[in-house]
Parts: sequence; C-alpha cells; structure tokens
Amino acid sequence: MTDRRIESIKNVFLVVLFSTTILLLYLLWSHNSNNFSILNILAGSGEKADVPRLEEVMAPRYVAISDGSGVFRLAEGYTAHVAAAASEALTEACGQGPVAISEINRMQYSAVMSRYNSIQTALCCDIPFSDYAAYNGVSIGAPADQIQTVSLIAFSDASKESIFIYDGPQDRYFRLRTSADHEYTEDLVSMCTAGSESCYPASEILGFGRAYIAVGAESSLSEGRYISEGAERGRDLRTSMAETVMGENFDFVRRISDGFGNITYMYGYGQKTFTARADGSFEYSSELSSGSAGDFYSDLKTAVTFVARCGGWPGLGGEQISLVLDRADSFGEGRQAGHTYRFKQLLGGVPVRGEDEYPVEITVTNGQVSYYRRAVINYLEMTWSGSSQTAEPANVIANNCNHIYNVMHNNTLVAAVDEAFSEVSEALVDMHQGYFQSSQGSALVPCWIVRMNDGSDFFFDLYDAAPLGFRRSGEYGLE
Amino acid sequence: MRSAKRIIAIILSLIMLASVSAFASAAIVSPAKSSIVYSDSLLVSVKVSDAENIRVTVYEKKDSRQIEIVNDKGIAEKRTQYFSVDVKDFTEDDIALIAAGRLLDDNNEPILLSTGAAVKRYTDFTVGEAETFKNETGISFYTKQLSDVKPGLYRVKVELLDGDGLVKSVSSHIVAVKEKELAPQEDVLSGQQNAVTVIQNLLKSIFK
Repeated sequence: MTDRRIESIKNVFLVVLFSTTILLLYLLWSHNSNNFSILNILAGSGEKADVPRLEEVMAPRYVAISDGSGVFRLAEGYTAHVAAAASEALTEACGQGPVAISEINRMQYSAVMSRYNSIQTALCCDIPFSDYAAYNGVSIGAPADQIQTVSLIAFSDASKESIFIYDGPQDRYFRLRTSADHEYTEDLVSMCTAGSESCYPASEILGFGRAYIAVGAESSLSEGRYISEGAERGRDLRTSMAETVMGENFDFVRRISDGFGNITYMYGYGQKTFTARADGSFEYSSELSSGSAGDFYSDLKTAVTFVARCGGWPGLGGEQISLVLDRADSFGEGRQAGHTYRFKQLLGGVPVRGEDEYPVEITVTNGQVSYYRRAVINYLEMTWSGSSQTAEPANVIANNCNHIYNVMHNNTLVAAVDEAFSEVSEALVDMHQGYFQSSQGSALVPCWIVRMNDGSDFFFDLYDAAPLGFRRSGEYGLE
Repeated sequence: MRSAKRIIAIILSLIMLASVSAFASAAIVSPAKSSIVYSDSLLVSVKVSDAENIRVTVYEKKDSRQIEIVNDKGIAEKRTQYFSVDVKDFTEDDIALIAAGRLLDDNNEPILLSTGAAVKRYTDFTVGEAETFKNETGISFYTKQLSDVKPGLYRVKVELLDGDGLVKSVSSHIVAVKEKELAPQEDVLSGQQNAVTVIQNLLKSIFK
C-alpha cells in the first residue's frame, strides 16, 4: 500500500514537472519569436530601458511650407509629430474609398507646391513603400506597386482630395487621388512653427535643381567643444553595456586589454565581441543567426530597443541631446538579410555630423542585432552668439562646385566649371545648418551640411563656406 | 578701300566677341525675362562667372499723367504725377512688348497690348539702393529678396563694371508683380502621365 502511494506521488511529480517544462518552453519561445536568442535570456530583465517610439526617432529631414507666393519656409524645432500626422492623414484618406494613383512630372509638382498653400514632409530616409503602407495601415492595392519608395509626402490646396508622394530613388512624383476633399494642408501647417528665412527652389536661384535654398540666411551658432560619452560616463557605461550584451555574470566571457587602452570582451570563441575603445566609442558584433529577416519597421524596432538597452537613448530624459534616424540601407545576401540604420545626433535641435562614422550605427540581420557601434558625444563648451549673416547658401554651392563634383566622381581632373556647376546643382538634395564634429581639438564647428543625391555629404564652414570635410556615399556602404 | 573694310570687319568682330563674353559673365537667373510674379516679394539672383564686378539696381517703372495744380498765387501749374503701372491684366507677351521698347510697328502704327492700350514708355524709379557685387573667381551669385513689394512693373538692371568702375555692359529683365490672389487657377494637374513623362521614365529605365 505504502509503496503504491509512493509510486503515485512520484507519478504526480513527474507529470507536474513535465507540464511545467512544456509551459516554460512555450512562454520562452512564444513571445517575439523572431527575436528569440540566448542573449535575451542571459541578459535577463535587467533595468527596464526607456525605449523611444519609432515616430520620435524618425524626425523628418525638413518640412517645407508655402503660402502660394512661391516662397517656402522650413519648419523649426520639433517636427517628428508632423511626419506622424502626415502618415495618419495618408492612412485616413486611403481608407475612405478607392484611390487613383497617377504619375505627375516635376513641373506639375513644383507648380502645385509653389502656387498654392502647401506642405511637404521629407522623411528621415527613403522607406520601401510596401513596408510603409503595411506599418501605417495604408490600403491602396495593386496600383501602389509603381511606388517603390516613399521619400516625401506632400499636401496642397491645388487639389484637396490628393496626396503627393515623391519616390527619391526613382525620381518620380505620384498623385494619390482620394474620394473626398480634406483640409490636411491647413491642419499640418498649423502644427508647425515656420522659420523666418525665405527659401526658394534651387532652379530659381542657381538656374538648376529642386532643393530648397535659403536667401540671406542668418545663424547664432558658434564654435564649441565636445566630449565623448565614453570619456564622460567612464567605466560605468562600459560595464553596463558589457553586462547587457554579455550577461551580468560574464559566463564564458574573456576580457582582453591591449596597450592602446582598448578593452574587448569575447564570448566563447568570438561568437560575440564587445569592444570599448580608448577614443570613447563602443563596438559590438555577433555571429549571424538563422532567424527570419524582418521588414524595415520591425528591424528598426529591434535596433532602437537594443540601443536603448545598451547605452541608453539620449534625449528621452529631456536633455538637449537626441538621436534621430538619418540613413537606412537594406541588404540581402543568400540567407542573410536585414537593414543597417545610422542615427545622427542633435544638439539643441541642431544636427551634428562629421567625417567619421555616425554616432550610432546598428545592423539587424535575420531579425537580430549583428553589429552595433556607438560613439555618442556631449557638448563640453557651447556659446551662443547673437545672430549674424552666414555664407550665402547659393555661393556655398557655387564656390565649391568643382570640389563637390570631383569628390562625387572620385577623380581629380578638373571639369569645365559650368558642367560641374549644373550637375552639382541638379544633384543637390538639401542643405542645413549644423555642427561639424572635428577630430582636431574636439571642436564643434558651425557648418552647412550639404547632401547630394548619390548619398554623399559635404560640410562647409557656416560663415566663410570653406570646405571642412566630406563623406562619400560609398563609405556608407551604398551603391 | 579693301584694307579699310577689312579693318572695320575685324573691329566689329572684336566688339561682338567682347560683348558676348561680357554678357556671358553676368546673367540674371531671377526674375525670368518678361515674367509675372504673383507675390509680395521679389527674388533677384544674378550669376557672375569669372572675376567680375557688377552693380545691381532695381527700378519700379511708373506711368505718368499731367495734372493741373493751382499754386499759392492762384496760378494753375502743370505738373507730372507718377503712379504704379496697373499690371492686373498684363500678359507675359505684353511685358515682352514693353521690354522691347518699340512704340510703333513697321507701319508706324502704335503697338497694342492685349488690353488694347498702346505700348508706353515708363519712368524708372530706383527701389532701394544699387548694390555692387564682386566675384573673385569661378562662379558666384548675387542674391537678394525684396519684401513688401507692391503690384507694378519692375526692372532689374545688371551692369558689368571694369576695374575703374566704368560700365562695360548692361542687361535688364522686366517683371510684373501681381497680387497672389490674381494667380490663374488653371488645373496644373490635368493631362498627367503625358507623353513627356512616359518618355522620361523610359529613358531613365534604359540608362539607369
């Protein structure tokens, strides 16, 4: 009798243990199955990180407003909510009935934007339209197949039932004609604070091109100095980041220091490495996994979450530093597919760029982070001077057209000035005021940030238009 | 006689060549020639090639009429009163006729505008101060935005100066400034996906 009871109790225990095992496995693998990894388990819950919403990090490159007089003004300050509202407007309008898509030419687009009240939202980067539509719930159907990428969304009182999309890589303009009139132009303009500077299309100032260029620009930016986040937060940051990616207990992790001050943590035989460099930057890489690739937004969510957990997301606590998405590239080779995202820093709303890598670069492969580099800075000294005249933006381009042309074409032969000028003017995408992060003396130099349509970036002194540096598109891994 | 003709021909050629290169050194990008601007601001953009000095002056062309004014002594005096040109109904062709400067056609008949009025000569009044601009090398732009511009007829004059400040050549563009509300409400979006767009896309896809 007693033996039978003992056997019964053992059977009950076995059943309970087996059921618990099945339940635990289900819980572990059912959530975010695309992102399941040992890393997540080893890292544990840790401190709960503040993760920004995707809309917050996808601030538009610019928002251009026109009152129909041919003069444009760029919105100032925080504009991420305007891009989000533009997406919501597109979703709402497309959901109200059938949508007719047709292509228009550049002249027609320019006319509806300049001759009527209008607003144009240039997205932070080119986004595959299929991913954009899926994420925002935009339902159009097969006619939308001709739109491969969405670079800009615009509204104009020239056609209140229409929404305009610009596909940058294809250089094509589309008109989405919905079933009813809307007041989106007025609604979105009311969300913006228009700057005081007047901008005109480059074709009206330079004779060529479609980028908006300011006339008689002024600025209060002056030189400052920066310090790397690694140097500022020191060992605490290094340790917390290492624990996040390697686990708190550093099981199976080796720590290697070299004579240059770099410290490397290596898991196993190099399946994962994390390096804290002497210059204050951090680099993480992981062997590729066999998960399934995500789309633009799911990979971006993975990337943003990872950055927030590993080092923190600057700017969420109300400081004047923030990170916004500036560039995204997709890749797919064999069984490996994913996206690389590059984030730029904003200091007091002013973009900071340099010839070196972006402050945050992160690659998501097959749904998991395979590479992460972080070189965030903070300002050490910053002075704000009174407003003064900058170098005329038109002359920044004109005086440096040969330099830009030679860098874009990667040669040193001198092209005819007119040929170089016309090509550079046509290739100009936008130019904004910002800071150039100089490696000499840790200086922040006020500059014009000039982007060309091949992805190259050029930096010119804000007040005397002298070249400060550049970064070719090839150095970003673009074609 | 033959050598004199040859010398005259050479001199005329040199003058023409100098004129061509001089005009090529400074070109008015905005406002476009004989154009209409529907705004209360006017953009002036001049492209200067090579090391050249220019002087840019903006005028408002005003119409005039004779009026009689009785002075303090009770004597009627004739005076000229100037007023802005009413450009409300002007077309670009009208502006081109005014810019050409001819009042009579080949039959000595008055040249008429689209409004039915005869082409007139107007008087230039300077708007603001004339400004000089110096280009050291390569290409540079003189740019300026005039704000609070009233409707009327305007002339942008660009003078190419030599080293002593003397005028080498002059070029002008005349523009009509109209109120924004008068802009034509044509449907610019009609005729989409026209043949030009189709051909452009085809060429882009071939040469991508």
